[in-house]
Amino acid sequence: MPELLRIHNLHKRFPPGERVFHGAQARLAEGEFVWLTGPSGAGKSTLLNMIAGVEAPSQGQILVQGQDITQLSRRQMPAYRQHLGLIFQDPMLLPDRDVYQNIALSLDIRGRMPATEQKRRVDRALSHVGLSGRGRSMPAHLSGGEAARVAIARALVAGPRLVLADEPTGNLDAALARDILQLFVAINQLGVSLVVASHDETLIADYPATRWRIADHQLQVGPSA
Amino acid sequence: MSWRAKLQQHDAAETISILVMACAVALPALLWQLNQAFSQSLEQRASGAVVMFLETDLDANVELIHALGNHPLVATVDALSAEQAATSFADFLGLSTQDRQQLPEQFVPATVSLRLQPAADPDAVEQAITQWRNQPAVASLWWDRASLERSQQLYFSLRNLGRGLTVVLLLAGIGIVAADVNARLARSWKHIQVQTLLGATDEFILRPYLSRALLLGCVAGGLSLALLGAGIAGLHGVLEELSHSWGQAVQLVYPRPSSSLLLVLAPAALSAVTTAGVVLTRLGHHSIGRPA
Repeated sequence: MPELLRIHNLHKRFPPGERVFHGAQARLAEGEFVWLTGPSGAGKSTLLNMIAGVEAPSQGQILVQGQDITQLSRRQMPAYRQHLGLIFQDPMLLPDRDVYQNIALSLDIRGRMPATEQKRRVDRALSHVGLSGRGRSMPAHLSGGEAARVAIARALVAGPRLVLADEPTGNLDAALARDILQLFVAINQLGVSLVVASHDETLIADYPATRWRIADHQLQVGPSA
Repeated sequence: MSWRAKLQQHDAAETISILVMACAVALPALLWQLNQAFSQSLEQRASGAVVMFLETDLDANVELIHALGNHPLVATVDALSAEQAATSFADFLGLSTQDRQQLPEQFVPATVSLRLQPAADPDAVEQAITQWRNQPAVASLWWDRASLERSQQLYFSLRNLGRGLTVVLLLAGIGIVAADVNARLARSWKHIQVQTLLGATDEFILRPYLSRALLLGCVAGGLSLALLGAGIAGLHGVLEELSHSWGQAVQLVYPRPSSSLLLVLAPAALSAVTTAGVVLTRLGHHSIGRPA
């Protein structure tokens, strides 16, 4: 499979010198599914933030489809992020917009689109996450699992090639968390590459995928479980 | 979202903000109008006058009058024949018809009244006066340098005061808009972070702030126009009395349609430019991280 993401000799230090990574190396192929694991505070979120261009590495390269995103200017970053799907532990839905509008925001940001096409895409994304017919619900009226699903739909609606999810099940009970993880597997089967961070290794044990484990400031890349 | 819906979304704080913005626009506009009205009057008063009494009647001095009219220091020339000057003087003295008939034939010589250009340099006027005084056709000449200097001082002081206040109020208006936008940015920072993480450009984030600024600027402009109209109507009586006591008309006029349009659009443009400046500066200076 062609390479989508390559992390090369990545270092990250936080002032005053606290080291997070030291010479991290990894690669992700198109359509690959990666579990990013490690204890809390190991640097999973930092790594995802650097891949998303939210944080800058201290040294090293992050190549996405051959382009070093650490060299992107502030004005170039939005175009790069528009090819990503970002999901966080907090679904970060806008409380004054309904589910449909929250999901459509991803499309609005990418430019004007006919209303019928936008509706088709949002409805399809809602259908993928099992929330068909909930477009007019307000975020305050959603359960934790539903909100997480809306966040996933928002990340998927524009057809990203790479989805980064940071502890997406962190606020959910075990049953709901398994539903969400199953959803990620289904998304991956559609050909989308995923890097999903989780500290709960027992939860992800049942879902075979490549493992990136952060321990002792090193990123260890393991084979598919 | 429709304009109407946008307007209906305002809370009390935003309504106060619009009113303050409207006042911040209307007050400088009213002040400007007042300044213009008083400036015209003061300009006339501060321009100074020179009165020339001629040796012979006007017919013999056409060239001199023409030359005076073209002089760079002279704004207007008002020439009176000996007869007209005598009538004018008799009117001023309130003489009866009988008394007028007893006046000598050359009671008052032909007179040329010059109104000098506003802000004419008194030294330059003094030099011109010396030249005019030496003209053979000029019998005598009257002008009051001290009076001109006092009037000019008053005119310049009031004009500068008016301009200064206008600038201060405009700066206050800009400050109010900037503070309002900053407060809204602070309230919406989480929204902005989410949009940024989804790939929004600065222009995309700016758009709703800009449309709101234009809308509120137009509302504030319309309101300021209404306040200006009310202010002009309210000051009409006061200015009329002032005109009587001053002996010079101080006219405060309603703005023309083009000026009215400018008064509505200028705050909108000012508000939009300020908003764009504040939003882009904030977005440029604050790194967008993940919401806490």
